[in-house]
Amino acid sequence: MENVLEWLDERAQRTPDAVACADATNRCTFAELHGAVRSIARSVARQWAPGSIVAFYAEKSVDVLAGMLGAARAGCCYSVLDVRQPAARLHAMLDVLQPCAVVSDAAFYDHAAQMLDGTPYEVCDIASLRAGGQGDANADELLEQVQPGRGDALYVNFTSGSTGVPKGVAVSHGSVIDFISYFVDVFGITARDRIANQAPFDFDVSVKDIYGGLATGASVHLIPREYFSVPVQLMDYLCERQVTVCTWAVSAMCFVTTLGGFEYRTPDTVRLVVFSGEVMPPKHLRKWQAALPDATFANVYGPTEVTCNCTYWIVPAGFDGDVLPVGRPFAHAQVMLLDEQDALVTEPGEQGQICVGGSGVALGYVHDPVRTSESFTVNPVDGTGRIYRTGDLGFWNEAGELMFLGRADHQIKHMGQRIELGEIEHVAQELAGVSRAICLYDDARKRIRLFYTGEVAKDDLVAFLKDKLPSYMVPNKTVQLDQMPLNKNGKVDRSALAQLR
Amino acid sequence: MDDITYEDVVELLQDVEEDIDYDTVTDLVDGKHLDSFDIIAIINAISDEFDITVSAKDIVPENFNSARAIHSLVVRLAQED
Repeated sequence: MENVLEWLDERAQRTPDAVACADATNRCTFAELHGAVRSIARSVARQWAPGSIVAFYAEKSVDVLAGMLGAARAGCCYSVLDVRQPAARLHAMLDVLQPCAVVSDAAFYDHAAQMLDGTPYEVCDIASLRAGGQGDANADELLEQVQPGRGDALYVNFTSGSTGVPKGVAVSHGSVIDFISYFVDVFGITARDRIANQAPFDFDVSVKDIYGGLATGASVHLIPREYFSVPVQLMDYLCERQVTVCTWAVSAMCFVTTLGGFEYRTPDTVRLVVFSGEVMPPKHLRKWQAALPDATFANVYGPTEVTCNCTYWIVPAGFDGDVLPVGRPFAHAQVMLLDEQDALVTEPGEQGQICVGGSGVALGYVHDPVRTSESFTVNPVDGTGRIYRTGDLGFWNEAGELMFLGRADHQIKHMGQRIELGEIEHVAQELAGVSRAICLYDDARKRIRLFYTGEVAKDDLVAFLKDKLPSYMVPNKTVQLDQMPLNKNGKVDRSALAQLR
Repeated sequence: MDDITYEDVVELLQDVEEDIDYDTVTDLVDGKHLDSFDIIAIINAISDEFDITVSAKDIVPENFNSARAIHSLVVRLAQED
């Protein structure tokens, strides 16, 4: 198998009339999706060279999915941008991507045009791409020539970067093919399943839903973002669509339990719940287990740079422990712990940095060879193959399962998002009149706190940050100090700052 | 328990998200000033500060679009208790 589109071709042959994807208002069968993807691909292939990056600016929908796959079918790579980001950060992402086009839909076309004002990019409408390629059989020969291969980039997803510029992780068709093949096999996902997609398309959790569906023939039901503010709407949707599989972020699962979703209604068709992104609070897991006593629960682990996940752990029936292992590697992944001298750590209980090899390892950070070579290196143990250094710390337990410990640096998980505190500090220090900015995370209260020195008024700094950062990165509290507390080495004393109220 | 005032509610909201003018904004949810994480933080705070459980049925935009609406909700739930 060379590219992920082969899954769609096969499904359009075998189960053309089965539902491939549905959102709140729209649905399409595999045959319809196949046709839409082909039309869009013809338009894209005629206008842009294979290997170009097509950016998408819209909330997820059946049409946007067709657009992403259409770009991929034309040998291009897609990157979905989060529409909630401020324009300045979107521009930074576009600078990284250098896309050939920014594609939007009817709902976001005007936003996109406004956001792109002053950039060299223009908005392109999905519907016109599709219309332009309909019945254009002349382009079919071209489509044959631009078929992507295993090593070609399929998508770019962004993650926070400590130097103030977001990093675009490029992932190949081959990585997705290998990971998804093992993922659907381990969890027994089949054409009978109905997948409830929680994650936005700019998050790689959604890759498991999109391609898990295409690979098996399961239907994928996209849950609108706003349903995660209204539990009744969310639970009704899950029940009405009779969903069977939830591959969700931990934060989304906590939303259901915290807001009493199960007291309102239980979607008892759910047979599998796979969670990732943060450490699962045991209290919330137990509420899910109580609501869905027959369902299988699994913890999966891995950063975007290894293509979704590299390890999994199926929660044993009746488990009521407090610490969940992240488990054992999927068959395509090599997972190892390295100490500070790059020696392999194999002794149970001994701590090391989690490093990942195998075919899931991403191509690297797009247009950023420096940061790519820092994090993606030759495997130092055997000198062959590439590994990704996650910066996460872990240890092996006595059963040979990987346990996650935390971060080696100032990266945090906040509101389901991976954030480098350094990016917030860096942006704050861009404002004239801020001499020093230090960001801390209060893990217990889930709050980002920013301390700064300089003559700028707090309100001005907060307004500046709101302009430059997405809302989940804007500090919950900003505090102006006369001077930073220093430790005996002359460095900012972070623990002293943490004591300040 | 003493009556929960509008000011109590605003204080609670400011602890979740400090840079909103709660006296004037009337589309906190519909205008996307608050996202699902803020709603969770508010529900948790209502539970911690006022010892009131908000059920899923009450977590709808019209009850959370303004500080006044949240205050009315909290007062109603406190009376039902």
